[in-house]
Amino acid sequence: MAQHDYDVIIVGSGVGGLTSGALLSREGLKVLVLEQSARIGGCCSNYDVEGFKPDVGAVFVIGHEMYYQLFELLDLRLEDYLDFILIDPIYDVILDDGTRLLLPRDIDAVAEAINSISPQDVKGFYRYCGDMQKLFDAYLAMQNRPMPGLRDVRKPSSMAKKVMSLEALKAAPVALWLASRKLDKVMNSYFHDDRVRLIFGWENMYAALPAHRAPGLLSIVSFMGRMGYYYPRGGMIAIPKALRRIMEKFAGEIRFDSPVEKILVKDGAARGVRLASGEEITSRAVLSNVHSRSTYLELVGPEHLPYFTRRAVNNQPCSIPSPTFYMGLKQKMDSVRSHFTVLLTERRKFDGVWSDFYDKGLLYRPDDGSFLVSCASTEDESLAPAGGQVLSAICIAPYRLKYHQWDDIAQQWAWDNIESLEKRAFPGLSGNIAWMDPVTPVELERRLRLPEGAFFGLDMSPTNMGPFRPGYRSRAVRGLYLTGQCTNPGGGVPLVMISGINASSVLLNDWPEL
Amino acid sequence: MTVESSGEQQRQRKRAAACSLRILLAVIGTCLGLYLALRLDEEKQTNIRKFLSEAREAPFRLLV
Repeated sequence: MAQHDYDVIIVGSGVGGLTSGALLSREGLKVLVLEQSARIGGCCSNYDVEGFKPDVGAVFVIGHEMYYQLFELLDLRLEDYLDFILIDPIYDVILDDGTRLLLPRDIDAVAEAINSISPQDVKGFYRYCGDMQKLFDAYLAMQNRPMPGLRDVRKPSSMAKKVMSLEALKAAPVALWLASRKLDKVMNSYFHDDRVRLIFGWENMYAALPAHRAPGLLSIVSFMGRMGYYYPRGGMIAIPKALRRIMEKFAGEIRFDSPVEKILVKDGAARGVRLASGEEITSRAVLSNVHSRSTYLELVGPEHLPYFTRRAVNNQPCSIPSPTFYMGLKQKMDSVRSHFTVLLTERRKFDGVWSDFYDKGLLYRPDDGSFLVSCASTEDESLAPAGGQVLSAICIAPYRLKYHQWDDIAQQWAWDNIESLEKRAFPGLSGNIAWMDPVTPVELERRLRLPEGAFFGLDMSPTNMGPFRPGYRSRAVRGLYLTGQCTNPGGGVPLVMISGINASSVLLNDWPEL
Repeated sequence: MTVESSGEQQRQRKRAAACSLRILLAVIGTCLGLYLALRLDEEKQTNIRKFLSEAREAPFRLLV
């Protein structure tokens, strides 16, 4: 057998790649992670500007139980590597009509808040919680089942043992009911007041779908906050840093400022990489944590791909971008009352943003827009200079604009939105800004090598999920594997972690044949 | 009339019938398309176009 420099080269230090790096290193493989930038983590990271450390990409931890699953596979204790802080209160919700509700974790306290604006919906809220609790119990039962070995995680028998439980049976009727309805119908069945429907059903923003087209199962996302949203001490970058420590504990290596120019393909098999510097590093397998379009069309090259693969990769739509402007505030503001401040317009305007603006390449007026503002320094004050705060404001805007170029309007766009935030949520905001960085979809694409600035990688509609999403094992190039938001189950930190586990399992099972 | 020529005539009739059917389906399809285009609002039309585009491309994604 030919000698290689490494067993596996992993391109990109996102959570998917580092999860695989940690697992494969632990299995005794010689692993090298190549990161193009000086910073670890990809879409789960932060950066430091004058002591302000905003999160890039992921802004909180949902479903933290899945992290315990990974640490169980690694035979390590999560508490030795990560310190998760519970987020409470969860949301400070501001509606168009001036209604402002601070929603804590406690369900009874939330009921009290709902009672203040719509007493008729309190009963529906408890019914909503009761139904969602069944689904959550099934999820917890699954998480509490022991993990099979890494080589066995994808066996149908292993998956069945994990998923099947009494709780899953009890949850099945609710799950089927939600799966058969759209989000708007689900919200209408629990709540009467449009404001309450929006407060518990705005997460379709993540799916880029109006409520009447978004799946009913999305309604559980709001409930997950009651079960626990967390934030890692040190910022979201603490997660990739922890994975790096684990990987290096098992002799895995990582190199920064090492952009990969090409994946070397010989006789139809991936056999290493060539860096932008010209250095070639050989390996038995290559695992790409880069967007599938970049992986296949840039790194592998169309000359090594059959026509149908080229066509599929080229035409597969990306998920929505998440243009964000980051702000470092000189002084803490009392109006920032929670890790998340959510500004929502009324339902019709909120749902209409997709067809009226997004699909047409238009930008809406900031006062007509919805925002998700996160304040990382709420839980961890070390993420801002003493007395200051760091904010990230995420909004909805398309990658391609009909009448403008993003680079020409970035600053104006950000300041217009800041003006709106100041009027609607944070009085005095603009005068308190020490530093501001507008990260448009084009800028995201540039900084993270992320086509169209799409944090979730590929669109998460049914024709882009399951078998229609790029496989962990490339069907076009032997020895090439993929992980990250472009594979199943999709985008989001816990999901790419699952992707890393699955990709590692597939690679390990293929190892004797590689 | 020979056996071969009556067989040939039958084949010609079948070809003509198939051709007529194709033309009829094309006309019906066009009329239906025009009807839907006039009746459906812009959002529904966009959704249908997206759906058809996705349906056309999705099978290739199985090869990635």
